[in-house]
Amino acid sequence: MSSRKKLLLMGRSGSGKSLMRSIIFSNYSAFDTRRLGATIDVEHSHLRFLGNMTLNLWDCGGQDVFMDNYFTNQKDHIFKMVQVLIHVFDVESKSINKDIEIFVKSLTNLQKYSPDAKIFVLLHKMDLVQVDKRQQLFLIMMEKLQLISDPYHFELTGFPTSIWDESLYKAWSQIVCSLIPNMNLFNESLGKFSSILDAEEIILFEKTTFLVISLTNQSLLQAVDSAPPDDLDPKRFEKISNIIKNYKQSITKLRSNFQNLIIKGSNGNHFYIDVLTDNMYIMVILKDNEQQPNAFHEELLVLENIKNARKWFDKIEVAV
Amino acid sequence: MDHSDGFFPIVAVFYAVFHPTEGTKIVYQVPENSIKTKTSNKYKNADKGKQSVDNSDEFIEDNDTSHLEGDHDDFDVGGENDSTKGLFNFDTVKNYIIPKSQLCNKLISVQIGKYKVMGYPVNIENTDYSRNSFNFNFCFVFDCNSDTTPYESAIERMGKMFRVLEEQLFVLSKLDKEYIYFKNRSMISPLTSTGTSPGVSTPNGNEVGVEYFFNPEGNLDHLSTPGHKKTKNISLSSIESLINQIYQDLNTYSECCIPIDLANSVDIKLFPIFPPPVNIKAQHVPIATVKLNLLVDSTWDPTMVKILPYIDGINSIKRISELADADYILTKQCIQHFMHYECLEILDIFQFTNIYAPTNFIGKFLKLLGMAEECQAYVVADSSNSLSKLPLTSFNGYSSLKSNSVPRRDTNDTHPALNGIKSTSMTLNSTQAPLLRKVSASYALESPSKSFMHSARGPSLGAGSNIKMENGSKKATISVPSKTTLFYLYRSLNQQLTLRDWYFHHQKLLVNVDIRRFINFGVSRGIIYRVHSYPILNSIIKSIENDGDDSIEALIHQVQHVKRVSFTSPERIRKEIKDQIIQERNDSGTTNIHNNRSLGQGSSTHFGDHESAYNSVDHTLDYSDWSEVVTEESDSEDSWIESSDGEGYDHESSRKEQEMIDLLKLVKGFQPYDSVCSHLHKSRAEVREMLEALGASSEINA
Repeated sequence: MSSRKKLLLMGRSGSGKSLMRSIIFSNYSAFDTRRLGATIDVEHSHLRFLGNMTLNLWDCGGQDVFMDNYFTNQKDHIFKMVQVLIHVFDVESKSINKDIEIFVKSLTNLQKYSPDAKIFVLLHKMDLVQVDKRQQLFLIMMEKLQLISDPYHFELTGFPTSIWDESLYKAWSQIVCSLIPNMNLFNESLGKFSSILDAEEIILFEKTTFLVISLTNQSLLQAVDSAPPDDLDPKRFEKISNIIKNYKQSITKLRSNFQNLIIKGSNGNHFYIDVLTDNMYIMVILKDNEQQPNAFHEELLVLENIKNARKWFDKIEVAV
Repeated sequence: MDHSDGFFPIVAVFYAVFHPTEGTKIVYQVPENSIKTKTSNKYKNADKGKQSVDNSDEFIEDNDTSHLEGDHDDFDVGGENDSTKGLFNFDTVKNYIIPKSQLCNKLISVQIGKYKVMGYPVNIENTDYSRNSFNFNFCFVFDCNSDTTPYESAIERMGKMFRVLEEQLFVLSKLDKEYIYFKNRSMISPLTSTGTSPGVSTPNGNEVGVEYFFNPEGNLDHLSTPGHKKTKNISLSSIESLINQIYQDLNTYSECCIPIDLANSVDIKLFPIFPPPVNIKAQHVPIATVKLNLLVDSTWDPTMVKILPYIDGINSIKRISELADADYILTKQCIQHFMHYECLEILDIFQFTNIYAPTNFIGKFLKLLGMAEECQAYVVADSSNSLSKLPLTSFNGYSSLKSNSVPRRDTNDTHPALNGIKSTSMTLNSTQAPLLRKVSASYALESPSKSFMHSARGPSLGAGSNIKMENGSKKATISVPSKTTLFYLYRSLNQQLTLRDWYFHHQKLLVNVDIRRFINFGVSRGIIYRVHSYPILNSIIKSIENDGDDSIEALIHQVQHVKRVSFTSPERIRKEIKDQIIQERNDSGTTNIHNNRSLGQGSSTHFGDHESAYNSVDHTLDYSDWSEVVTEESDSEDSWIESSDGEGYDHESSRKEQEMIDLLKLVKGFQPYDSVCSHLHKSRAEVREMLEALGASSEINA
């Protein structure tokens, strides 16, 4: 039983919508996107996500002529049955007012036709802003937008993004995860698995896009009084997505497939990335046990464990 | 709706381009404001300074709620200020004017409302452009019923030419003064390079200094190679003038030649595309629809020039070729060419034994405006013409309406070339066949009067002496036949009625009517049709039913054998075998493999022992084309026999026998009487006689 989710991707012309779509869903690299042309009218993409879920992504061209159309002749066609609206703002835009105006129009129509939709706002091309100003700008923008959308009773979630770093992945992971109905199940199962393996951290990735679906961290499971892992980069997940994706692309150039990856770090960390189900990758991070120095983890054992966990996760997937 | 020069006019032309921020828009259109776009009915937008251009209308925008009132689209937009309602709304078709890349670089035509928009959208990908591609389209708007085939190749060529010009020299994208189509706006200034480039962001977040840019003019200046400065740079001074000129020239002259620069120009000439010529038969009669003798010049084909005076609406093609002493095949080809260029129409031979009947379009006579008036003008004839004095009363006794009764040999039934009526109709037509559409009553009036000056023939015209014509006076009163009369006359034709009988019945009503023209008008407008008579040999029918052709062969044997019994000699027989071989080789028909049922095979059995040099390919003759073959065939055959003839033998009877064979073949091919008569050069009565000799026969009218 597959579910179809309609995602609307809107924003002014040249804001980076088609680009993002290509990077996340079509395995383009950031450099490849130089070659993309303007989107004429609406481009539809159908993406299978996690097996049963189909994402229907409507990439709407942002030129004035098209925008006019979306809000007049085609409004019910476009705005009906929308699960998620992703509105892209270009931080470099010279005419912010116009951007906001369009946003407001989208909100109006969305409220009319799909009042239950979730709204995500992406402030794109953040790499063009100076580093220290980014956070500030983001906050100001989000405040403003939230004010505007309050009358429509929509809750906004915002992300600063850029195609040149991992922020894109974070945003999209969140977006997609919000669509998965039984996230809790994933989290729980992952927690259990983690405790069995005694792993430091386990992350679930979606296979094609490498978006993080679920993660668990041992420190979360343990009592609160254990040392918080503040030496861990909070952005590591997106970075991992980015890195692994690039790695995959390099491998494809050599015409081979990515199966699993085992990295043994010098500081005692072991990384296992393997296929979990048809649609997911799992990354297990094991730490050398301090109490037992020189004990090593059997690689094959770990892999075997992962294999066995497969059935478990398959069931969860099917229930999506 | 026909334009004067035969091409359907262009209603509008426009040039559309994909603007990076605005999207698909019409840059220029001619005539002005013919296509409604959102920009011509602009509502106030959030940048509050702007006011609506042109038609202030019902579009209101309330910035607070940002409600867009007025979901009007298409045709009810525009206030009372709008004088031209516009042909159609551009928004509905804009996605086909600049379509997605899969549809680009092909000829695309879209129909909207009453109009058809035809264009060749071009998509050029190049990283120099902002958004990495440039899309444009030159579109032509026509009425949706126009035949646009002459324009198609021209539009495509124009699109391709501009594509190349744009690829190489950026002719079109540089038209925009702000170079909005390019990534790097710093086009003009040579070398100072720090122009910002909004579209390009880089990993380190800094603005990339643009050292690379393209600027053909700049580069050339910079290079200053000898001769370069002298070459005129390609630039399109304005697209408006180009489109304007194309629109006007094509509509007025059907061609245009607009130079874009020293080397390039927009060269279009429209050629009408006619359907391929149809096959016509010897018994068809061409009638000219244009004054051909005015078009003749020294470059015309000599055969054409020769046959020209004989195309008068009375002579059949066969007859024309005889009168003009021209080869029949060439004549036929000339006529076909004339038909292809729509200079003449084809009619049937006018005979009083023809039968006509109304078609189901007879109502057109009443419904179509102007048709009745045209008919009146065309068919009116001087009441004192000879037709009214036709000595038809002598045929009073011939009241049987069945056409398969025993024919009587009478003057009216002879071949059209020979009968007395012919003389009358010839007088009527010694004027050239007039343009069917532009006949005025006075012209029709003149023709009979003129003709009588020339007429001096025909015993049946004995009435000629009774006619008092005032020389050159145009004041003779003519009563024009009324429309009801004409309609009644058309309606009164039926399939049982030959023209002669019909004339006889309606003599009084036909006093002012030229019958030949009356019939021609009806046939060419499709309100009556000709009912052909087909001679059928019962034996042929039986043989078809029994699925065997032997009876034909038997007949042929009979014919040949009877005549030839006394003449068999080895050389003669060999000659005949060779005849057959020639016949078969000359066959223009299809060669179907038939189980031993060809004529040749039959003859070979007949000539049993002498088959030696026989080409035993089975043929089934294609009888519809047989007629031509027969005629040349018989000629060549006769000449061949005569040339090698060394024995005294009877040409006459061999010719007769050949005629019988021809007749048989024609009848087997179910040719109508006209065709048979034309080919055998015999009158219908003679043909009937010959048929009787062959066996029981009947006629079918259809």
